[in-house]
Amino acid sequence: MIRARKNHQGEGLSLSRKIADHAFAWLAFGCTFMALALLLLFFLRLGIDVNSWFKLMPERIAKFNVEIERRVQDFDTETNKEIADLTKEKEDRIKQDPANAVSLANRYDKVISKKIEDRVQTKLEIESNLKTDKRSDISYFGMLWHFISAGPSSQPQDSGIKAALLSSLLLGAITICAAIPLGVATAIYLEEYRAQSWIGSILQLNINNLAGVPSIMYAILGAYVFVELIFKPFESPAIAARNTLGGGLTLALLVLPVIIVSTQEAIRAVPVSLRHASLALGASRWQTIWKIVLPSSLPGILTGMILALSRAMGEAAPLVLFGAALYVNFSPTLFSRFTALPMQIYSWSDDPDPAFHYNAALASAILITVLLGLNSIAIFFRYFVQQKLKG
Amino acid sequence: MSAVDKSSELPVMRRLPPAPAFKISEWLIEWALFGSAFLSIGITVSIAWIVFSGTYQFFCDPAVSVKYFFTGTEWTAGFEGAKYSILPLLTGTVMVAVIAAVLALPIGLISAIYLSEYASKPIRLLLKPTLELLAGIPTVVYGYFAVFAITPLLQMFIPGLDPVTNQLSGGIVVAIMILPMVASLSEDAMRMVPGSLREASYALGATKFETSTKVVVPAALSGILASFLLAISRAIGETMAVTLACGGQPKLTLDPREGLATMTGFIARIAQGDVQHGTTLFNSLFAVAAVLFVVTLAMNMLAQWILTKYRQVYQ
Repeated sequence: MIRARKNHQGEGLSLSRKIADHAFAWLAFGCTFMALALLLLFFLRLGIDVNSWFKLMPERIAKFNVEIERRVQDFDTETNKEIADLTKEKEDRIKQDPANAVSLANRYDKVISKKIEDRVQTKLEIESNLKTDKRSDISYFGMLWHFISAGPSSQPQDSGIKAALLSSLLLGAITICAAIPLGVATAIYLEEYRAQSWIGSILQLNINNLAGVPSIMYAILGAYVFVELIFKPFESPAIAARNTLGGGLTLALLVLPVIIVSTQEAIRAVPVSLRHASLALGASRWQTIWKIVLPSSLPGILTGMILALSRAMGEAAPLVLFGAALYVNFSPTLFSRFTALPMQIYSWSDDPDPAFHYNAALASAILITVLLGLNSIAIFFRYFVQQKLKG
Repeated sequence: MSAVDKSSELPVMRRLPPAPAFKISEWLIEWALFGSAFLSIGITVSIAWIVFSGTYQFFCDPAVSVKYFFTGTEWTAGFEGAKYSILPLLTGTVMVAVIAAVLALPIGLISAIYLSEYASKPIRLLLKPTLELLAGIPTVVYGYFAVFAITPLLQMFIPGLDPVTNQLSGGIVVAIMILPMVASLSEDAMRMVPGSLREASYALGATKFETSTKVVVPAALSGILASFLLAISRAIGETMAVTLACGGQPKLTLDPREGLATMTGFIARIAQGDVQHGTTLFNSLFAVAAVLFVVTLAMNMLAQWILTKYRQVYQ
């Protein structure tokens, strides 16, 4: 069948209809590409801010280095002044009381030598700190590496995203480990066991609604169930009430509908004839599902998994009620407090110091790179791998 | 083998899987699967229970009146002599949603028409994944975009715009966020309309514009409406971007140049502070969440209902 792509070539068409037809075609084209242009603007802005970060931070680092060096010099002058003061005091006392001159001199000498020892010790400490605080590497790569490998700091040029990045990765792993088995099991139950029944339709309606529940509602659920009910009774120095595991499980509940829906689509795409063949060979229902249906729908399940992972790593709203700590100076573990990259971006964007905004821009750029990478893999799977399997 | 025997007793095999012989492992697996499927119902029920029991406690407080909650004009939670009325927060949310809907729904629909009716196959194959890619950008980053890109841009054209937080930038950024969703879902609906309808329309002498707007769009209307409702519900529930863009001041004003706290923004800001559990301020969070939950659930249910009720099944 020939699909009419261009109908009649304007014969017998009134001018107004012709104009409307053309105008609409251009409008439609414009609207679609305007949306993309806005995004271009968005990425441009982000690029400019990241560029500003690379420009601004060396200045900040240099300024901070000078400040640190001045601190050492100040310390030296302070030491000299203190010793001079003590010496002067000693001479004054000796003048006042010449009878005890020797014992006084001895006592003061002791005090002074102790003081000098102390100050030298402190200076050594300061200098060793200086070595870590003072940053000489201001190459692009060096600064970027510092940003990725450093913890939070009150100085914008020293802040990094190490804790946030590790937290986000850990949260993502927990989310996937919890959500994939549950989501796939639910999808199998819906598609293979209860496809046409009223239980199935209620479950389906519920899942469709869950997909539309605002993410902040999951925060309330998670804060109640995982913090108040489960982890509060176990609270100890080793186990924080608001821990990474609870946060990851909350995110798992959030992404469950995503996994269920994409797995359902994948299972539905498996031809019925395959199931018939398996059943005809005497396989049981579960054997058919486990050995025939699931392997054929694997690309779809993987797509859902990647989409869920990227959603979980990009969400911040469910974590605010967890009080995802903003100042985490350690590498998070399963039961410790945690932060997350989106939370870090949020708090930096909200900071009054504009230098932190550039930090937010760079962190956003890193997060977007990770998430868009994940999403493009998922989209590649959906559009090309699945098409091939079908064809 | 017994499974085969039993099904062969049936005169006609009506159901797709043959009635299986009772096997304890199969039975266990089915119940385990049922358990995980039931969990999703459990999530909905627990959210509703937590939110509504918190709301009940909130209204039990003598400082709170139900009447003022729905008809009052001030929300001063956390201050001395706090007044609790949902209207200022609701105004903030509605304003963001309206601005987003006004911008995103028409543009999204027209983009969907372009993708489904006008675009050639390679362009569609390029644009559709790109649109879906946009859905992967985290909302916090959109918030950053609103504060540091849209607001300075708007300041050039709109005098009196609050330079830090304003409703307009929040609405615009939410529009950008829901646009791919509208375009993608509406396009799916339009692609389901069979080619024969289009061909009939062309055969009657209609132009492409007329075919698109008078045949394809009405035929796909249920899907389009559902996508609109889902997008608006998403705009209402959006949290991080509007918290950054619109700020945390609950005010009762219709001026989009000022920053108004939204319901989600209020919840997020309260959640960040160290609020003692069980206080009226903390319980007010549940009351706001309850309104949010009811509104979004109603919109989602309506979308589902439209989809099932008015779905046209084509051969």
